[in-house]
Amino acid sequence: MKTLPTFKENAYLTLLIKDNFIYANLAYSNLIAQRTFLLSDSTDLSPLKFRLDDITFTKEFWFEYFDSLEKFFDWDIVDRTYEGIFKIKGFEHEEVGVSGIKVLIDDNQPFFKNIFISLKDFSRDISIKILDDKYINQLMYGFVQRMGYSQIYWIDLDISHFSIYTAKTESISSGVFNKERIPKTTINSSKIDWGNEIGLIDFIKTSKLKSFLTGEFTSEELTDRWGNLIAHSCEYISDPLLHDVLRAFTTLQLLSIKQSNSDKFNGILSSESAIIVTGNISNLLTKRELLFSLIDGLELEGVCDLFIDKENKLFSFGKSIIDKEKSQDIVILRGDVLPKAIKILIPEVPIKSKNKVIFSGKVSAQGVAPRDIYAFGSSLQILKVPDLGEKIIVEGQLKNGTLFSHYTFTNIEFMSTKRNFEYEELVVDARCRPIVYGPNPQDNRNKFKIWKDADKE
Amino acid sequence: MQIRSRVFEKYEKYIFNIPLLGSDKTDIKPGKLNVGDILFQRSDSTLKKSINISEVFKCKGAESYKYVFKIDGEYVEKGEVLAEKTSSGKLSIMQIKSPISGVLDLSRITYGYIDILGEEGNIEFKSDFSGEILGINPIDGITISTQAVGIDGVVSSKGNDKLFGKLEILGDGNSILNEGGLNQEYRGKIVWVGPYLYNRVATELFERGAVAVLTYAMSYTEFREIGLPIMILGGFGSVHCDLEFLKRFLSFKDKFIILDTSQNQLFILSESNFKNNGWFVNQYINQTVISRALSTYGYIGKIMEYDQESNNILVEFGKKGRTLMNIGLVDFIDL
Repeated sequence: MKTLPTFKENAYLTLLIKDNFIYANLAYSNLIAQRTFLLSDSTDLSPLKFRLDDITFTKEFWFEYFDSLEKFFDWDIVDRTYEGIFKIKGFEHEEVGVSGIKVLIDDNQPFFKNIFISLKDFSRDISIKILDDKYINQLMYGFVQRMGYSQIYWIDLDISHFSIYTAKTESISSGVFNKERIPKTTINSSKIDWGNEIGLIDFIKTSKLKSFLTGEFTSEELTDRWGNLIAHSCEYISDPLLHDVLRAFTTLQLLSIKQSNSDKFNGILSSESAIIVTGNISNLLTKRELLFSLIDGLELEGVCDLFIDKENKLFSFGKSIIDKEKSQDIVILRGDVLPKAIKILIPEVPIKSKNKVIFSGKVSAQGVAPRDIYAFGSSLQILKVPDLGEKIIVEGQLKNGTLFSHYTFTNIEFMSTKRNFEYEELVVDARCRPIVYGPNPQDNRNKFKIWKDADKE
Repeated sequence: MQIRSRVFEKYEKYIFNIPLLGSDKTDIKPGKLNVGDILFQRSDSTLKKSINISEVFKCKGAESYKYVFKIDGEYVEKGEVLAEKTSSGKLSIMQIKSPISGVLDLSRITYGYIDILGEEGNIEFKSDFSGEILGINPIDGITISTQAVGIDGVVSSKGNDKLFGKLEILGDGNSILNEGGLNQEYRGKIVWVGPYLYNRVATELFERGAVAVLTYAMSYTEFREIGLPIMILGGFGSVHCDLEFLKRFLSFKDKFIILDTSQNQLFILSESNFKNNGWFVNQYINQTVISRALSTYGYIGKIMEYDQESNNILVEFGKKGRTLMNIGLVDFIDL
C-alpha cells in the first residue's frame, strides 16, 4: 500500500536571518513512526556587521556555513557532486538529505539587499522569502484560527527593533437582517526602529529611563557599558548593570508603544488571549525580568498564555502548523514548534490581602496524588507546573477578595498535554496595583525586593 | 554555531581613491603600481596655527563655515578678522582674529578647524605598497586596487568621508599619553594615541593638524562631545587593550591607511602574507577569544575546557589567570 504524501518521512531546513542572527531550524517528520523533531541553531552575525556589504560576504561564506551546519546537526544537507555549485542533497532518510531549504530574510535586517543578492547568486535551489509585515499578518491570521485564541499579541523584541502585532477576532453582525454573526479578525501593528547605534546609545541618558532603573550608576558607567553592549552585541549578559538597563529599556519601549497606540492596545487580556514573544531580548533577560517588562510596559491585566520563542521557530515553521497537512514544506506537529506555554494571571489584589494567600489550587494527573499550589500577595511568583504525567490538570481559585478587574470569574483551570500543548509554568502577578516606578532607583530597589519575592511551589 | 571575528581581515583587492588637490602633480598612469613609485607631488605648507571655531563659538563643527569671512587659500595678516558670530539677540559680536600672518587652509572646516599655514614646500608621496592603478581623474583622484588589512571600529563623526593618511604611533603605542607629550605637527597623519584617549589629547592632535585619531578606548561621553574623526577599536570606558592585538597593530607603523567613516572600518594598505582562518568555529577547545564579561572585558585568551551542559568555558587569559564563564560572554576571534 502506498503512503499518503502527508505521512511520508521528510526533512526540511529553514533559515531565518533577522537582527544579525541566522536562526537555523531543521524539521524532521515521520508521522507513521510517530517521530518528529526540530533541530535548532543560532549564529550571531554581529562579528560581520560592518562586512555584510563587503566582497568577503560571498559564496565562500555560505558554503562554509552549510558545511558547519551539517556538522552541527550531524545531517547531510549539501550534495557535493558538483564542485563550486551548491545543490541540496535530496531527502533519503533521517540524517541524510532535506526536501528543501527556505531562507527567510527580515526586511529590517541590516544590509538586507546584499544578503538577498548574495544568497540568490549562491544557489537556485534555495527558496528565498522576505519576512515583512505581510508575512507576519498571515501568521497572525493563521494562529488566531488554528490555536483557538481570540486575541494574540506578537511581541518581537530586539534591542534595535521593537514590534508589536495584535490580532483580535470579534463577532460582527452580518446578513440581510444583521442576525448572522460572523467572526472578523483585525490586525494592528506598531514599531520602534533604532536606525543608528549612536542614537540608541544616547537614548540611555533620558530621564524617563532613569525612573525605571534600580541601580545607582554614574552617567559614565551607564553610557560606557551600554555603548559596549550595542557596539559588541553578545548572546549572554552577566553584568547586573546591563540587566537592569535592558529591563528598564524594554519596559520603557513597550510603554511608549502602548501609550502612543492606546486605541490599538488596551492591555486587557482574557482566557482566550495569548502573547508570543520573539527576538533576542528574550535570550538576554531572565524570565522574571522579561515578565516585569512585558506586564508593566504593556500595562497588562487579566489572564493569558505566554509563549517565549527563543529560537524563533514560529517565524520559521509557523506556516507549517497553520497549514497542517496542506503545508508545502513539511507536516510537523504543533508541539515541536510551539514553545512550552506559561499561564499568566494578573489579578487585582486588595491592599488588605497583600500578605495573604491570593491564589490556591492543585495540580493533578492520572494515578498521582494531587499537589497543592498557592501564591501570596504583593509579589510576582513563578510556579513550576510539576511533571506528573502525560496530561496534567491545573485548577485553582483567586482568594481573599482577589479578582480580575474586567471579569467575574475567579476560577482558573487548564490542561497541559505533553508534546502537544504543554504548560511549564504558572505565573501569578500578585503585586498590588497600580504599579508605580520611581521616582528614584532606591525606591525601585525597595519595590523590586518585594516584587521579586521567592518562588513558591 | 559561532562565527570568528576577523580582527585583521585580509582584502586581496581593496579599491580606494586618493583625492587630488588642485596643486597636486602626478605622472603615474593606469597599470601596475610598484613599491617606491611616486604617487603624486603635493605643494604643502607647515602648519603655523590651528583655531577651533566650533570650540570658540560653541557651534557644531559642520556649521563653522557659516562664520568664516575669508576664503580658502587667502593670505591673512596678523590681527585680521577670520570669523565672526553675532549673538542671537544681535547685541554682541564675537570675532576671531588671526594671531599670525599666513595662508588660510579651510580643508578641515567641517570639523570646525581653520589652519594658518607657513612656508610652502613640495612633498612626494611614495607608494609603500604594490597594486594596480585603475584610473586617474580630477574628480575621483587616483583609483588604486591593492591588498589591504581591514579593522572594525566605531567612528565618532558620521559622514561619507574616507580619510587618508599615514599611520603615526605616539610614544611606544602602549602608554597612555597626555597633551604635554605632543611636540610636533601631525599634518597628513592618522595618529594612534595608545590604549586610552582623553579628549584634551585629541583636541591638541587636531590642532596640530592630524587627519584622524585612533585609540582602543575612550569615555563614551567624551567620544560624543568631541565631534572630530576619532575611531575606537576596542570599546568605551576603561577597556583593556590586549598586547596580542597591540603587537600586531603596531607592526603597521608608517603605513598608509584609509579611515572609512561611513563603514566604521580602517583599511591599512599593506601586503601581508597571513591567511585568515575560516569563518565558523567547529570545535571550541584551544580557540582564541576576547572577553565581553565585565571583569575581564577586552582580555584575549584561549579556551581550555568546554562544558556543553552548562554552556560554560574555562578560558586562560595569561597573566590574568583562568576564568570560568558562559560561552555567550566571549567573541571568537581570528588574530
